[in-house]
Amino acid sequence: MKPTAFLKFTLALISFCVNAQESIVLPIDPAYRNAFVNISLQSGSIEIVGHDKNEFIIDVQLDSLKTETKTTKNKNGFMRLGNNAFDIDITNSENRLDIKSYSSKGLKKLVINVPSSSDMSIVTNKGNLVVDAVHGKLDVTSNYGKIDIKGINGSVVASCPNGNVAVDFVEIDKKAPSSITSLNGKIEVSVPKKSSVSFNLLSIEGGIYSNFDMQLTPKVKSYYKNTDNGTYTSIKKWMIGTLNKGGPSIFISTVHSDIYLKTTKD
Amino acid sequence: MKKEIKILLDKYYEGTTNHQEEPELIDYFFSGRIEEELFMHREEFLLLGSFKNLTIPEGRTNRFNTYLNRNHFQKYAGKKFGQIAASIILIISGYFAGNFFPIHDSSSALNELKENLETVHENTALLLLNQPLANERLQGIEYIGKLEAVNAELAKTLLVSLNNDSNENVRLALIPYLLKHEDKDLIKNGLIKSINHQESPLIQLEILNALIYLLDRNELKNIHAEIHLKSPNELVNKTLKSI
Repeated sequence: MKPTAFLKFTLALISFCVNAQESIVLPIDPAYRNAFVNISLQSGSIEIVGHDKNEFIIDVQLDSLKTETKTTKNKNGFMRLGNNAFDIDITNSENRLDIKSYSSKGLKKLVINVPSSSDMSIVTNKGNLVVDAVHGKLDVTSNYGKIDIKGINGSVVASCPNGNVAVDFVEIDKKAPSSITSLNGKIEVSVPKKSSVSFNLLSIEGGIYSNFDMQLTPKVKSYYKNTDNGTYTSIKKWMIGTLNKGGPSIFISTVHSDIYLKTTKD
Repeated sequence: MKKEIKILLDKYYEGTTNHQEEPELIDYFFSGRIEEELFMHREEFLLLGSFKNLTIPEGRTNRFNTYLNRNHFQKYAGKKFGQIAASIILIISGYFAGNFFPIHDSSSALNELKENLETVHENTALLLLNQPLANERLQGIEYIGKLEAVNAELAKTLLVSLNNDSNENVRLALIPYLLKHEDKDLIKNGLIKSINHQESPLIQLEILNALIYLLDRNELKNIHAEIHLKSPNELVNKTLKSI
């Protein structure tokens, strides 16, 4: 076999292996507490879907190995073969699933099926985050990506400084508050039409929009201050509004973008 | 110092510390000058410090288990439910006791019940503030909203959370409650120290708001020299200049 043909074959084999989707099944032990998912990624998107099985199913999708053509001589005439070396640690102990990866490349996406009652704490520095049909407590952060949460009825704490956030509640957790923050991203929250919720809203440079009528009033009056020249200083103010009778709080805050509130049919 | 504290910690987890040594440990962890190696014990002693006026149970079994399972912090979560349940039982039994037993001096009994309720809310808040999930810490902050005032211990715990909590939502939510503490200097110095290492513009703006509320015009002018923001946002800069 000619050296170039051998090289092509080797690259194809590496590419095949690297692109292969690994599926890992880890059982839930009913003897222990409710499932808890803890994920921390330096880079890579995450999709979590609730299911009714007693197991975690984890699919690890890897980036395709980027090779460069022979004509791209970028280092002393040598061709760059690519480097997708990365690490990922997955452990499951007493129904606590821990996934950690500090690699800034290589990992494209994690798709995880979890019991729908799972609680979770998820952070990805660079990547999108999708959570679907999970009814536990969600504590999620994506520093450079967007967050899309749908079909949930637990409380949500979401931080997404540089991306949009969409949260669709099918039911509101009556016991726990939710909070969503972004710096530059748009925040969109949907709640069932008949639910009773208290909204605490802050959009410093953007607007607040909704597809239903709601009276908004300033919440923190104490932040108004009488100054020497008799005027009032107010840097920002939270606006409070209630849907139906009001209920558990949903705090929504963004600096440079808009807030959208929607009601959906029950 | 580090060696002494390590010896005391070992004794503590063996259940052999006495009532002079335990406050020593609590004071060390409240001092803010904690060795990196010992930082993992901080939360437990901040929490214990918050309860130091209450009776410390004699049994050491739970504490020893906590020590053994320290790296699996999620296991703490299980304990929380028992403790919160105990708090709720206390409230309910207080309510029924009030209804079934005659009260001769209704105002003093009512005050006592009110105080108990404050303690229950405060302890529940402290327990929840130490939970690994941000949702639960946020719930803890809601309990602080039920308190009439924030005492020194709780104010210190909130300042520690403001500087160390990994979640922006939690840090943002707790700032207004610092204003419920009466020691203005403690809060002012804590907020100024904190704003200098906050990176989120939302948090920086909320701290500036709190300072505007807290300080008079002359005091506000003086804080400019003390504020050195890390990569300030344009809006935060504008706000800072306006005060």
